Amino acid sequence: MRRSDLGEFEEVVLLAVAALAPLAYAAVIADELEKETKHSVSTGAVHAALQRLEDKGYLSSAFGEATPERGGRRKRLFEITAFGVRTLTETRTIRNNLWDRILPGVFSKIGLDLS
Amino acid sequence: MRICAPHVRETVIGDLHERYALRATRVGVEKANYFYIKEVLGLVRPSIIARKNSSPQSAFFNFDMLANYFKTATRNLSKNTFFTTLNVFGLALGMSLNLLFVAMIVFMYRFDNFHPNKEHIYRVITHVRDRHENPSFASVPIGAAQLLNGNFAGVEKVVRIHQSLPRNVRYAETKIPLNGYFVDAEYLSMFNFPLLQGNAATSLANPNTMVITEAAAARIFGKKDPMGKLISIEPYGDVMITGVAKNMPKNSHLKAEALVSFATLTSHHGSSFTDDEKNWNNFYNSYTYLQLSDNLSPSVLEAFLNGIAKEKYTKPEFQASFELQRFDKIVPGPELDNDMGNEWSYQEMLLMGVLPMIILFAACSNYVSLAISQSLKRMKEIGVRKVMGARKRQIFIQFVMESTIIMLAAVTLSYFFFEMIRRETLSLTAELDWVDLNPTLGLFAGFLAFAILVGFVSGIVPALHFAKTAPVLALKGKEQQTKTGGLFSLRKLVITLQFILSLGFTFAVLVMGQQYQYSINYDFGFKQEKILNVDLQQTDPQLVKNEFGKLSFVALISMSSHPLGAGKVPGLHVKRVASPDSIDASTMAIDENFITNMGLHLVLGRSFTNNAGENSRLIIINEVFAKKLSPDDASGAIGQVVILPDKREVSVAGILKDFHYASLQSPIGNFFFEYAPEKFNYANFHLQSTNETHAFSEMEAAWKSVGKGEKFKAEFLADQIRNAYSFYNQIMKMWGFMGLLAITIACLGLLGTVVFTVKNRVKEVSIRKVMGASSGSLVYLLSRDFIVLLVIAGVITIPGVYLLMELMLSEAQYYNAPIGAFEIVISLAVVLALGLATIFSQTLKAANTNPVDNLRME
Repeated sequence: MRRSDLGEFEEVVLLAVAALAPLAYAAVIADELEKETKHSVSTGAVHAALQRLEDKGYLSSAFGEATPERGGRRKRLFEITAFGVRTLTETRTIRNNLWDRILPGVFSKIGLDLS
Repeated sequence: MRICAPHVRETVIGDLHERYALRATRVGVEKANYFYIKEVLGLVRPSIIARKNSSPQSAFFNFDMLANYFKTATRNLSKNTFFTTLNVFGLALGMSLNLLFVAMIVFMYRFDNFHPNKEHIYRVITHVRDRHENPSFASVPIGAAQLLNGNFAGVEKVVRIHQSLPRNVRYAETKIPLNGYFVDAEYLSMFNFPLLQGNAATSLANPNTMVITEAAAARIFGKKDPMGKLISIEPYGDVMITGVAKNMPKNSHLKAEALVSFATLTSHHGSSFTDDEKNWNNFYNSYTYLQLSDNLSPSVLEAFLNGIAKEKYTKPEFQASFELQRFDKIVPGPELDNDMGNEWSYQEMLLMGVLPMIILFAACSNYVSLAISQSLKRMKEIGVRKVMGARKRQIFIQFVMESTIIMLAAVTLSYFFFEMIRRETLSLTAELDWVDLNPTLGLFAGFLAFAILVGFVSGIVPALHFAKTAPVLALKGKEQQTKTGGLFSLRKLVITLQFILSLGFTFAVLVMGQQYQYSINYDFGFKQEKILNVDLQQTDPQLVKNEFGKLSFVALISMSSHPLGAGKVPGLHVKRVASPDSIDASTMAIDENFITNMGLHLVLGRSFTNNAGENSRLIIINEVFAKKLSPDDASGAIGQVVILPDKREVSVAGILKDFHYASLQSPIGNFFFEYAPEKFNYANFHLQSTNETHAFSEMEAAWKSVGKGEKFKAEFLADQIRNAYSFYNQIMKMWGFMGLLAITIACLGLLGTVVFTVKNRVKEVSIRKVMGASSGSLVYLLSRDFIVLLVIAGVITIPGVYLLMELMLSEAQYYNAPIGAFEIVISLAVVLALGLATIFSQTLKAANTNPVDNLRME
């Protein structure tokens, strides 16, 4: 298995970009993640993740339109690349396979019910 | 806003604002403010958003920029012709000595670089631990080579060198000085000294064979073919020439004129010469060179040899270890005792470089101080450059380049000075005649590298000064440090230091000159005029006496072993019969006429007589010795019996008034004359003739009948004594030259600074003059600061150098002249006069110009 250089937060950001397409940019992504995780997510962290993902080739970006609340500054809209999609799918497959291999009794034994 | 890198700034700030708006509606303005501030602060982390350079990354050496720097540098230099000439000239002077030093270094590093297998050659050296000095020798006990020969698979060649070859050889009854040593036959294949005649493999294989160089062959045999000729070498007998080698180059520590086969030594002395166990305590004369194959590490051999050393040196107070010294680390290399002669160590090189470096430092500090003082003019240029986006580094490179250009110009000019002083320096002492400083490509490369290095180093200070100026201040034309006065103190410091240096050298040269005059005019306690010392050179003293006694102008002839009062006389230990303690004494052998001839004054007792048999049992002592023998009453010394080192018992016949038998460097000690005709080296003629050329031709004619074909060698005693102090002349020459350089450089620097200051104050001076100031008061105003500097230099230098010279003289010469006020006054006068002339030449001019010329512009 090729070691995927996709961190956990990066993976979430990448998924968010895919989910929010075609209008995915840092502010919305951060806001969306805040809603989903119920934790505060800093814009800077998202920016960094986006930049890294773009450097790695999972994302591509282009300038979007400017809005008044942005002080007339343009957005940078992100879009997932084919390589990004493939990496996401691979990661998902690995996870799914592992989930499938968990024997039914394992979790219930420690008093958890996930069904 | 410069929160983050410019290329992402727009989106990042836009996003922040957008989220602020979102949060403000959702959670209220206060919380939104809080988050906003937090996130903005969070951006101040280079690791989160990597910041890229706003301007394109420029290469360190961008050709276009360099070309531009070159252009500005040359323009700027040609604009300030006066300062450029001053700088280049001063630096060229300062560099001239350094070029000699660089040439020397280049010469050293070319040592022995012509041997094809030099990487594989090693020399075995010895480190002795004797609890005192722990010397390291370049030589090894002779047995070491024997052990390595054949014992190791990787040792390809072992060559022994023995330095015991006599300095003189004989050919057809003529004595000829020949410089050489004994070597093994493989010497010629290990080192690259090609033979012109003879076979390299066999020439030195047999006893009593030798190889000489072309030059030596020409000197001994003239045009005759040297091959097969016999030369007589004591005590080995006739040695046959079996090869003629090309002259050995000067850059080899093995340089010699003659190589005699090692077999000569072994066949003469027998095998005990190399095999005797006692030889392990003898480190002198014997050297060992090895050629190793690639697969044998020298450390293996060292371990083996040190194992042997442990067996041989069992006493704890005398231990020795061996080391294999790489061939290319011999010259220049570590300081070793008992080296092959033609060797230079790192320490000697360093010592040689100290004085030139001081002079160069003075010249460079001139450059730095002048460059910075001109900064006022350059500020606008720097300001514009900075505003246009020049980095500190680029300004730095620009100024370093400028100084490098100056240095290159200076080194070019300096090369002419170098050519002028090269021969003079080499002829200064005989020790330097093996040095070859003829220009080669390597030498020029060395000079170039030197100029670039000096340019870089001396460019650093002005470059940093300019690079750190703030652009706004620079554009306003303000110098940032004028207010603090820091710059002025640098300039003043430079001038003061240079004058200290100049004054120090001048003073020291004058003191040396005074010592020289004092020494040669000193009353030695005997007559030195009209005494001609003739070198006897193996002739029979009696024959010389008879032959020259016939000449009318020779009034009296005496014999002696040494010239009196010049150089050293041998020291020895004598004993008294009564006391077991030995006494240090010096001695000379003389005949019965010597005391009269030299005008020595006999205090007590009698001189030698005509009775040779009786004379040999007598000595004549000086007062110091008499005092030692009989402390209370000098007359008690007469008749006392003294035992000489050769067990002869002699009794004191007479006591002489003290006189300087040796040079003035050492005090008068115990001294005695003995009568020993076999030790005579000189005949002392007392001449009466005034016509010297006539006398000399007659003496040469007389010499022909006794001289056995040698040349007539004679010198006046006064000249010999004078020569014994010629080292003062050499020091004066050397220091005098450096003093000249120092003074010139100091005056150039002073001139530059004065011109600059006067230029800056030209308006002030003009206004003062219009207001009614007199020329005199203006000159005083302008010169005051500089005169203070000269006075400070004088106050510091004179006592400092005085103490230093006192200390040195008391070490160097026991009977020295006290340093007088004369030297102080003269050196102060010379240096101050030059300094003041420099100052007044400019200030007078400034004070006497028509003020209207300078004020018209306003």
